[in-house]
Amino acid sequence: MRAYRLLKKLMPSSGGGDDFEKAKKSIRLARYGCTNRPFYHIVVVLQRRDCRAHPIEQLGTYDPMENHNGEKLVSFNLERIKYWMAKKARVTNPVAELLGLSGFLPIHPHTYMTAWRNRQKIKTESEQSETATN
Amino acid sequence: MQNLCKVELLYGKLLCKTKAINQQPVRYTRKPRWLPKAPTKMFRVPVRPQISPDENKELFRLYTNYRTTMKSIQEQLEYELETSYTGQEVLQEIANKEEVLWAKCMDVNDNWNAEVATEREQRLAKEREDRREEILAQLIEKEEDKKKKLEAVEEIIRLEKEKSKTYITVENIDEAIEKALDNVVDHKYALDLAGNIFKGNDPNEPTTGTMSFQTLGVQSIN
Repeated sequence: MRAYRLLKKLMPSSGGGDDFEKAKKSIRLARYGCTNRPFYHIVVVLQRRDCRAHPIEQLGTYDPMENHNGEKLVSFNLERIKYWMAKKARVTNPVAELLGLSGFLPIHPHTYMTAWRNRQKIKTESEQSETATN
Repeated sequence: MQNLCKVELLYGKLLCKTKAINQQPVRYTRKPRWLPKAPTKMFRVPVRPQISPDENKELFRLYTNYRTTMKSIQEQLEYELETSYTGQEVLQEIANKEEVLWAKCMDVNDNWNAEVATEREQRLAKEREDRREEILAQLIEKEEDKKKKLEAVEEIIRLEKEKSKTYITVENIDEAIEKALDNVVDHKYALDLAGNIFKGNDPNEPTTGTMSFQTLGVQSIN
């Protein structure tokens, strides 16, 4: 790992980045947290740009860490998401999952998969514990 | 490597004059592409995920369904966006708005036209009045000129009439001839610088005395 410091230009995370009419765009998560504290912005960016590129527009936020009520908070600007989806922006899988859970899109298969795998896992664990106690 | 770092740092420092404002240091970045695999991971074989056929089948079904629904949703969204620009109702609304705006514009225009019309009428009336006065003045001037010319002509006529009394006509031609024959004027004479008239051929015998040039001039004309 390199031990030197790179200098990056600081851009407003709320939007105003490059937007070309015919370029591919994607709706994706951009990590804006710090070490051990992930926090994501849901943004539209040109698809070829890297994850921390200057976004075209911010469409929401996602906090993957549970708060004291055991909630993971997500916010969406659904109107703009509709607009960008109509403009054929690609929705990445994590964002599609979040949108599915929020009820805007159909539930993503990955969500089902993780759910049944978790269920399976719990089941096997309980069985193992039962056998251990017996 | 270290040299590269130094160069990068140097250029970074040289180029960024407003470092504190719009630049942010990034401490940890990914390993560059040209570095080899880490020695600890050299002989690691990644474990492939084990997916049972049933699960695979189920996932296939779910994904195909998901894709078809997503396609239809996509199309619907595109259609909605299109209709938001070119739908019948939207177009109607835009047309209505434009009509209202047009009516408003026309109202403003009409008011303005009326205002300008009154102003123009006033101006034209004033101009007409001015023109009338000007023409009247010109007419008066012309009449005066005409009168003056007539007077001048009449004066000429009067003079001519006065002169005409002395004209030689058929009636008094004999009288005139007799008169002329009675008073013969001999124009054959000489003058010297003092104005002496010398008649006849002998210069030593002046017939008349000295005369002024003016009287001489008048004599010669007559």
